[in-house]
Amino acid sequence: MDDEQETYKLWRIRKTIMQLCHDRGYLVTQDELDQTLEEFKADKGDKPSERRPARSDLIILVAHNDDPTDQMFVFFPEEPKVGIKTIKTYCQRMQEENITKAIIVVQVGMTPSAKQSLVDMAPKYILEQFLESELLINITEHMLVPEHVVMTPEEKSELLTRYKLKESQLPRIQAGDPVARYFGLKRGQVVKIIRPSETAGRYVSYRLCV
Amino acid sequence: MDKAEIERRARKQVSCEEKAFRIVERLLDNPITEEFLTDVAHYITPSHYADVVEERGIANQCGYPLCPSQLGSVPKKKFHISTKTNKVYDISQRKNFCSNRCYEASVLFAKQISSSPVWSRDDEPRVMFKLLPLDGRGGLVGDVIISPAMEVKAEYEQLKKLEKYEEVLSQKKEKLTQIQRLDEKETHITQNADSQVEKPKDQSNVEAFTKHADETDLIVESELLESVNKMQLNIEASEKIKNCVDAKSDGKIVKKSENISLADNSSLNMMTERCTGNADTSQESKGMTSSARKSKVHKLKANLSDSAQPCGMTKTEYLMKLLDKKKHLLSKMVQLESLDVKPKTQCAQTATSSNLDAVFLKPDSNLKSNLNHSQSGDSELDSHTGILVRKDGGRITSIQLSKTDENDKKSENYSQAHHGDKSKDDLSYCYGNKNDQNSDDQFKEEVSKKKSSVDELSCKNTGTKSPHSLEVLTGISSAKVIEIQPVQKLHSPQSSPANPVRASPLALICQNMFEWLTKESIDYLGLMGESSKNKLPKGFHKQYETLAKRLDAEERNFEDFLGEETMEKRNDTAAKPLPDIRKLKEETQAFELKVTEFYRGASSLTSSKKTKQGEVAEHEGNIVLPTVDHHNQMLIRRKIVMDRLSKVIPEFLQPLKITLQDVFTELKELIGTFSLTSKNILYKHAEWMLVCLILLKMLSKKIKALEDSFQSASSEKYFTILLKGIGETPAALDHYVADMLNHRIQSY
Repeated sequence: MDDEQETYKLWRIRKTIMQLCHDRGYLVTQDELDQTLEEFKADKGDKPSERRPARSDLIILVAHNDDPTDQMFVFFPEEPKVGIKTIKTYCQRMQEENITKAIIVVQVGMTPSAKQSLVDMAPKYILEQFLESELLINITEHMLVPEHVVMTPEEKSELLTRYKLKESQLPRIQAGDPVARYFGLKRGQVVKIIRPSETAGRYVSYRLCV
Repeated sequence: MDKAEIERRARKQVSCEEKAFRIVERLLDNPITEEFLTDVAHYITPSHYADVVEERGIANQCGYPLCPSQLGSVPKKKFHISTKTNKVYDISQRKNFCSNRCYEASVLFAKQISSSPVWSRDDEPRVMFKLLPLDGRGGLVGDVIISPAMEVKAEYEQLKKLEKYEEVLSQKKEKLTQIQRLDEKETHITQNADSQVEKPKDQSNVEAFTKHADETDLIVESELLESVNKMQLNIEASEKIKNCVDAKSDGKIVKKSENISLADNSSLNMMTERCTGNADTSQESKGMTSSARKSKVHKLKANLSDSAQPCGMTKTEYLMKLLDKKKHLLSKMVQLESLDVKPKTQCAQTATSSNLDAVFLKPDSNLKSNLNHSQSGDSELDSHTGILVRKDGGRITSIQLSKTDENDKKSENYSQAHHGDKSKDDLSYCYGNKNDQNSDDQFKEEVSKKKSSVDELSCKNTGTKSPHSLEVLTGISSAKVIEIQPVQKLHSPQSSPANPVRASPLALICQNMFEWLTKESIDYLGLMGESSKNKLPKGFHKQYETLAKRLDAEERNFEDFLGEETMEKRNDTAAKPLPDIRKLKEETQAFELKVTEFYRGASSLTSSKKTKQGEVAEHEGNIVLPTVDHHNQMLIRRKIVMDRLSKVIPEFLQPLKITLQDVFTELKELIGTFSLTSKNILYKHAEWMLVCLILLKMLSKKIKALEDSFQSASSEKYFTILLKGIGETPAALDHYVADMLNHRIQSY
């Protein structure tokens, strides 16, 4: 793959990641969101084959809007297939910096044991993995994907009391759903889906992540 | 099962998985001892181990846990092509290892790991793991994807198939030869039985021809050389007849054809005997020949019984001796042949076969007709004996003629033979009786003389026969005069009886269908004989054709003289040339095979098999043409014809007692050879029936079974009734078909 394509790919991935962070409520500047390919090249370099930029140069650390201590790493491993070793090094770094959340953008995939190790660390350290190919476009911008809004715990309890519902009576969405992964939904969170409707203008539904 | 139990189990499963995971993690870190590896291998599955290998590979460590070395430069390619072993390897797995040895060891270890779930292994016995020492040499390059061995295997299987096919072929051949041998024995026995009444010379001839056609060829060839000087007169005669024969077809070939025609006479005798099947009938027929054509069976029987008893033993002994001598001679011939230059034998073979062709190509030639009659086993005994009687007469007279008038000899011979053929008819019976009176005396003389010269004769064949008989028959030229006269009379009325019938619907259809016929269809029906295969020079072929035509014409004259009753016979003669050629060919090949097998070993055997196979393939290849175009007019026409025929053909299948499968393929292939036009495939339903009938008749020249079924009583009855409706007879149908084919053959 030539540099031009590789650079373009990296730029797209980075852009989608920025949007993802922004949608999750992390603080991302407007400049970063609007970064063009030229700006990206000028900033990071345009020769990925010569490690300009290397994947490690793309590592992002973002802080949450509401709680600046709630920070999130975005790792770009160098190796095509990520093993336990890499995960361990990332874990160490998170421990050092006291950060509990991270996203790993892998090139080809992860070994089964690496995935297992992600699960093992789950409650304490939350690591999500995305493939590079998944992040080339932002799926939430697609015309067929309705608007999703992640509800806070307060909103969720209000919803349940308002409609006199139990959690289990809500429609569901899988944690592995692409949009749920995009928003990083965890089990028990509720997402509000707003669809356009010909009769009602908009149609709102709620889904519980399982 | 209570909740606690379930929970306990679930927890155990989880803990086992956890343990396996920990082991995987542990195995990533060097160093690892063999004890530890074999110990923990009990708690993991192959997938876990594969994970270990991969993880270690990612961590740039050798995938085999026991190997502490680091991975060097890992190749980027996915496949490795080894020019040494001519194999292609998938090295995607091998990439995780430092060496082939480690890869092999890892594969060996992975194979030993149990694949059962990790939590169910408490009860399982511990496996003693075998580990491959890493200090050895060798190893696996990768997973073999393509290797020559695979191709070789495929090839080997193909060859095996071929071999089986060939085996079947050879088995068939063996059967054939066995049958022939049985036939031989039969004739031998019958001859033994009535040897006392048989002329010794004839016996030797007959015996010679009971052997394979090839043998006869050999004998003929060798004896040709022996009897060159003796045959001078014959040569002259034949050369006069075939004055157009050029340098290529030299005297030898001509001689041979002459010989063959003579030989055929005697072999025909034998064949008729063979076909009559049981010893009684053959005895009868033999008796008839011996008791000098009195043509009254009961009388003959008496004679036979009288003459049969006294000298039975000595004669059989003598016959055995004769046979031995023949065999000895034969083996010598074979040796001679094999020693001889190959081209020569080939040439000789082609020559003889072409001669045979020449004889058989003439559809109306009497020899052929005789052969056919003798082959068509189920024809009545009377006719056979009649043929035999006339045959002998014909031969004798022909020999006379060769002495007195060489030029006339051959035609006379043919007409005589033909006359014998016609013996079914009363008319010819009378004629034959005329013959009898003359030949009676001759025969007695001949017999006595021949008995005296038995030893000489035993090693001689047809070639030497004529000179001897010449001696015998010097005084008797009157018979010849009698015989020649009818022939000369015949010249005036030229095939007039056929003309008025021409206007019938059958004739019209035949005319139409004549346009259909192409060279391919003639070839397909096998009426061109094997001449095309032998690749004779064209001129040579033509000359034989002219000769055939001439003989044809002469015969027609003779037939006209005999009147319309003979028509049926003539048609029959045309109807059955092919199977005989085939049979002779097969016999020839079978014997060739046997001889080559005996003298040269298996290599030549297979080669001859191969050539046969090739021939077959070639033959088939000629017929089945690939469909080129869906809109091909010819294809559409063929489809139409097939469609129409398939509507009417079932009506014929029942009386013929055949199934559609028996003829369908051949019919389709035959139609494939026709040149159909838009105009000549327009028929009404009734006409299609006739077309179908004609086609079946044509096919009967190719398919022996069909021919037989045509001759069965029920089918004959059916067709007689059927054809009565349009004022025709089966005989006329035969005539039309034969005529049509002959014209087409002649036009090529």
